[in-house]
Amino acid sequence: MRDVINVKDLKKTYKTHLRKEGFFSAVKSLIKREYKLKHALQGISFNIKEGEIVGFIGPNGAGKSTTIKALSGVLFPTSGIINTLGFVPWKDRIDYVKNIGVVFGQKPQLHWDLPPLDTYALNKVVYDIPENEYKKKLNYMIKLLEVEEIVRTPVRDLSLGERMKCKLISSLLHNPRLVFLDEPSIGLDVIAKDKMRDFILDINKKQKTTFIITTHDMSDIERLCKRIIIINHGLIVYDGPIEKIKKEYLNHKHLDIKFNKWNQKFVLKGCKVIFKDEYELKLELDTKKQTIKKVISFLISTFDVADIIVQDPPIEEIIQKIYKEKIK
Amino acid sequence: MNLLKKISHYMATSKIGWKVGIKYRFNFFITTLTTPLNIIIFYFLWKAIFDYTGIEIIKGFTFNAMIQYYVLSMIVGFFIWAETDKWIAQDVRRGHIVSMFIVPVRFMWQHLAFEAGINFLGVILNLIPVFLIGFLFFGLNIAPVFYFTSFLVSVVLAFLLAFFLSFNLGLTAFWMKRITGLRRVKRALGLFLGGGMIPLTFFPESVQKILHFLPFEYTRYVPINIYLGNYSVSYVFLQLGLQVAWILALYLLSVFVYKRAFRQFAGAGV
Repeated sequence: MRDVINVKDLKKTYKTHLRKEGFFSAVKSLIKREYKLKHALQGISFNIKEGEIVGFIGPNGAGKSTTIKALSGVLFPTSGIINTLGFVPWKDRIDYVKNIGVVFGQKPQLHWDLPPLDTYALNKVVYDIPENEYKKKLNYMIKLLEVEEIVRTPVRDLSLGERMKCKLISSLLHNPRLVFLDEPSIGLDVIAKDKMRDFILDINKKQKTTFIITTHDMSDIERLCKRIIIINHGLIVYDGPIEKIKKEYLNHKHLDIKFNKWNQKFVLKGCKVIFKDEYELKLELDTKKQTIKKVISFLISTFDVADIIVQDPPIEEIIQKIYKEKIK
Repeated sequence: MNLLKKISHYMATSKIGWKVGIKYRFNFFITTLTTPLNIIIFYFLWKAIFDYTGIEIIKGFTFNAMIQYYVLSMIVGFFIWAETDKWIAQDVRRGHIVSMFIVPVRFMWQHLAFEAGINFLGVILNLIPVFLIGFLFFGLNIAPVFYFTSFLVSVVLAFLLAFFLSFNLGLTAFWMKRITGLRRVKRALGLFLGGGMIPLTFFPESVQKILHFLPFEYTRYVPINIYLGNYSVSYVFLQLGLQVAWILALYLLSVFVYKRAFRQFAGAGV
């Protein structure tokens, strides 16, 4: 497989106004402005092959969106080289963007007052999609995401999640070779997330479309991406298979158990009690020493359990662990 | 072929503008309804002035011509309604403008197509009723074929001129973020110096000369006077030529400014 993206030593420094609070500093800033430099990307390099689904993970402000913007041609990097599909994204913008699809989770991309179908019809003309191909593709996607009614409703009347689904369709109609999804799981419930995941996998399999997906929640892309790139403070912390991260760093889970009533006596191998009171118990489970199945069946058979929530540790925790390991 | 394809891209955008316009058709009906009201105000105002002074012709206008002037001013107003500055400023301020740059269309043409789509609907909905009202109640004359066709050409040019003025203003939002004040200034200047409040013959001679070198009178005053037959045939062609010249100048300016606006946007990531 050939590379669709080559990024080498990409750097981006923003210049932002620095303004202190208060009225007088606001007046002062009219005359003399102070600037602060923010190093959003401090030299990142990676390659992505055709047909890959790559997860871009990092805490807020890590540089995920900056990278996506640079890759989609709407941001000039301070230095470094980008080659995507043989283009330099921010030059030849028009020719380049014909080949890509972009979804910005937090930006509107459909005409606000009109049903998504109208935006799709516009896309058909703008991207020169042949009529029969357009119909086939649209029907297929509408069915897969179950949005028959939704695409006929004005965008302003849709929920956040419904809009996200419609934006996804809009970004894929023209068969782009490369798709960037920036925080696509905003506003989606669990079922919708599942549907979206199957949808992306299906398109990826059938059309060899390359996907780059950013998120700050590991669980969003766990079953979608084989490879992840973890980014923090504008630097790549990890680039490799997700399995390795799971095995080495996701070896514990957080459990939050609620009881109708219990005796507050709990001891089990591999479980660390973080918090307990009359109605609640919080555990950290080491999955190397104990399986989650055993813990849950033990809890249910022993106590009057009302609710159990199982969570992966947040991305910040994983990044900390990776750093610690590197220092060692 | 390639050009035809490109045109069809932007026609599709015009259709979107048209559809958005239809969504707000109620708005258009209200505009149509309030238009005669505006004319009535001017009607009684000028009636009082003409009656009181007892003069037949004031600054080159008879009472009847004066009323026709305002009817035509309303009609031209429908054509030159351009809000591109508002759309751009809104998108920049809310951080939505990035969505415009990830589709394979030219930013300027996209806006022009959208605005043309909305305006086309406004013109269709309003033009016939206002013309009718003008003919029936305010003594609007039917212009001779030459002047009528020239008028139609002139209002389309006036629309393009108004669009590029608005577009250039909108681009300043990339630096200034909020341009509400500037937009107000533009609207007031456009109306006042364009001849929307009173005919420009009311201004001192020297001011009128200066106005020839500003774009505003070409958006409103010129098409009105063409319809009223106040210009000789050669002067009509000169005025149309000047309109085209202004459009070209503002187009080139907007190409120049747009490049810098995009650089500003992509550099700072607005």
